[in-house]
Amino acid sequence: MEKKYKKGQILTVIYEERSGRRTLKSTGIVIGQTDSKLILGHNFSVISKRPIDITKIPLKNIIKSEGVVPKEINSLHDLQDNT
Amino acid sequence: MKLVVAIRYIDALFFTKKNIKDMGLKTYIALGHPAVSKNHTIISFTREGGFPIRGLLIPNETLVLEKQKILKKLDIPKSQSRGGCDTGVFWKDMVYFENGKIPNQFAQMYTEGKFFSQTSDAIVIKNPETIEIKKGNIDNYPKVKTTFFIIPRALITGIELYGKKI
Repeated sequence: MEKKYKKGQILTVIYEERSGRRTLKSTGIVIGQTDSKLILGHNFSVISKRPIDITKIPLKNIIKSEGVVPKEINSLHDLQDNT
Repeated sequence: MKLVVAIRYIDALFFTKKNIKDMGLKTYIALGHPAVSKNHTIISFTREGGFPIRGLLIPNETLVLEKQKILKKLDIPKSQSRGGCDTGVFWKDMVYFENGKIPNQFAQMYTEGKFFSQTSDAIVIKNPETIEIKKGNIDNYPKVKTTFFIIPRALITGIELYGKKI
């Protein structure tokens, strides 16, 4: 039984590419889940909330997932501190 | 593990319909790991061993920051802005990247068309033709016929009105 992910949850997911060649780490908001895939959205229109770039991750390829709380950036100084 | 950030930014907009009512810029939000330089910020959505594989390269001027007013004003003479004069706008665009091919700078764009309107933070060009200027290569952007282009002032690097440089 595949794990159920909550829509709107912000996750960092470690998974193997379909080819199994690389292990990738992807960060985004859960925008959906099918029987076989988790769909993460990475950037959005603030008003429409429509995702622009997404990643579909096969559930069976997920090695680990953890919730994250992103830091809101209000200045370039904040950004430099987190780089 | 480096911190995940949520960052807001604005981007240019294009339209394919005959009329537009809302000329406001839209704000977008991106999640990921940041890497900041003097001119741009890279937000990586996907990484492999700490190396960005997929993400965005965003000019720093388009970041929406509370503590910094980043939009610079460009004055267009009233006489020029009224008549829908031929206008050329040089601007820089953000770049989406994948497969770890991180661009080293933003895209250089040129939009030419009739001056249509301006807002406090953008210039609107009607019947635009836009090209991306690359080394030894010119690409039309986008591939569809556009009717309007809204270009944030923060992205504009130069404007030509009848060949007169501002």
